[in-house]
Amino acid sequence: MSKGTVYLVGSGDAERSVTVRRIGETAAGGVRYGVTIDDQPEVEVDAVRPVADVLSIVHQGRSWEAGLVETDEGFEVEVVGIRHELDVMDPRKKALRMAEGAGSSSLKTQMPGRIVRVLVAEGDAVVEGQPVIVVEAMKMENELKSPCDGTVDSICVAEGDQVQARTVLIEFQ
Amino acid sequence: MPLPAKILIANRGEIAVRVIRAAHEMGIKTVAVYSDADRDALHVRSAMQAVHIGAAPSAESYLVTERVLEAAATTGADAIHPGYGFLSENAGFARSVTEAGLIWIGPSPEAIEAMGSKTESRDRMARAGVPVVPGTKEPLASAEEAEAKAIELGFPVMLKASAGGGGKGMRQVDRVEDIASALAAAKSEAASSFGDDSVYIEKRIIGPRHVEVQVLADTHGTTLHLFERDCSVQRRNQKVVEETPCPVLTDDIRSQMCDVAIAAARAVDYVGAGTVEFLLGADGNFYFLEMNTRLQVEHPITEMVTGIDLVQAQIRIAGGEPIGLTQDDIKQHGHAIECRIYAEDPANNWAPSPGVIRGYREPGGPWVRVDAGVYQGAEVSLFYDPMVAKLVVWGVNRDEAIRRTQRALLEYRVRGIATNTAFFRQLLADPDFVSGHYDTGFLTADRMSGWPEDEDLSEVASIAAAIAAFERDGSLTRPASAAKASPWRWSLR
Repeated sequence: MSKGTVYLVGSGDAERSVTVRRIGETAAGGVRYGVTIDDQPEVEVDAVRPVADVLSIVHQGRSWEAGLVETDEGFEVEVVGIRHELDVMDPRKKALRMAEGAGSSSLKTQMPGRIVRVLVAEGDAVVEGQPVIVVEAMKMENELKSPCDGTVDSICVAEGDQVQARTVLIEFQ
Repeated sequence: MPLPAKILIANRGEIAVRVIRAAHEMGIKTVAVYSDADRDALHVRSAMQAVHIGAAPSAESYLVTERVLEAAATTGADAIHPGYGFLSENAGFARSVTEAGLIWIGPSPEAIEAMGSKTESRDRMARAGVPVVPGTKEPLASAEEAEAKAIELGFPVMLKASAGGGGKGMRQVDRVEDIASALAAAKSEAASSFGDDSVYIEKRIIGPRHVEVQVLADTHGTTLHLFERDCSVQRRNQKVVEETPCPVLTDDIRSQMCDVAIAAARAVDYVGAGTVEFLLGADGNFYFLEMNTRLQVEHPITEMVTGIDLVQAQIRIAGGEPIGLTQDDIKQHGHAIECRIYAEDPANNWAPSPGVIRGYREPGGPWVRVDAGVYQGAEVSLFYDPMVAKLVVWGVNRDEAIRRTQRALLEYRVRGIATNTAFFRQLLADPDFVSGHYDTGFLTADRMSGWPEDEDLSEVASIAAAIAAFERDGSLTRPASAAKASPWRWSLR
């Protein structure tokens, strides 16, 4: 029996280890997967793709539809109208990335917009949750907050700049 | 004026599509206009002709009178429908359209102007016998004057900064002995916030609901009402959910309110479709707020319960036809609810969520209507309003309408951007909404702060993400040998 592939899904406290192995196919053309979440017992799910961006899952007798949009970090998964933005990582890659970026962190935009104000300067000490930059999008100003305690290592944008989604704005040490 | 033969829609998004549909049903040709950001928008794809009118910012395209009139001239359009927003309540634009010899599908510039100014419309309505919120906009000269006025109005009263906004310089006063100190506090707050310490007084309306009446008037002297819409579910003064009938309105108050709405429209010689907005107090008294001299976003719920197509009525009236109905012909049948679907992220502090709609499936089934301006693959741009669609549902009664709306919300799929569909499911299940006893204060910070994480859903989402990654990774590695052997690959070498 194959051992399956391990993925780390989600981030922080909500991170789960999900192991997937392909068992075979169902008579109706679905794919049978064995799925193990953290240390729970393995469950079998039947998955098909009626269209490229939808995964229909029959799991413990229930039918679920998951809409999939691939992102830089993993997948945006929509189930009954609720969005889950999930990081999906190979544990080895994750370990590597942690080692590379140990002790540093960065703040990215969620959406395209314009930099209205930068509230900190390089070298400033910040605490997690402290507003550090104001970005305008769709005629609304949004205050973005520091993701960690630390110091401002570099500010990558200037006031008035137009930025794309997922642009690094500020790096912290 | 004859019926228009070709209508140019000076708008974009769902409302442009809505007007195009009405025109096509009447056998009238249509022209869309579009900015740099909208070449592939649904309204452009829906219309028979389309004209580019400028850059993405609306001030350089949808708001430029000359560009819109040029587009009408080049395409030979003989009428202009402004939709809502943009130029719809711009009296100067209405005048230019008429002066260019085109049919303006809207009220006269004079009516737009009369209702456009809050103070002028208030005075005019008061003279026409329409109830307005008791009080004056005159600054208070002294604490003694404030006390006398408060006693005359009856407690509680509100003190408000003349230059005000955002709750600054505003005080509710419940007892006469508190007036002097409240006035001093409001004045000092007004001075420091706005550099102007003028404060006025008006009656405080308890438990206010926002209830509005749809009116329709033709050029033959007929003015009718199409009953009310309750728009009390608001966030930052933006309507979120609307329903009709208003669940707490008695027949008696309904008929008074509708009569007053007709009187308000008549007072400005109103022609076309318009909406008279009222504040309805918990005590059943209601007061004129303002009149919107255009089609409203929430007009479909009125169409659902009356069976009257308001956009087609607007076009016929603009073409000089009589409404052709009497007041008795218009009945409220059943109940309708509208949810405004916004590109915004409830899980991320309600931040706007522009981007490409990667997956999109609208709900269907009996008595479900979706007025949308988007499609799968459409980009929701930063330049315009984040409302992407309206879900409008009819039921034989309120209970059925709520249950059907819940069902339709469950079917609605929007992927790639965040929307508020899941929030509506929570809102429509809220006991205070279900009971019908809510007011404009309904959407508290608490109600806006999201919902508990559903463990089942998040587990299913994790499973789906892992399987998707597994299938992606498999397809990256497995077909590699096959790809090498393909003749296509050979030919590239």
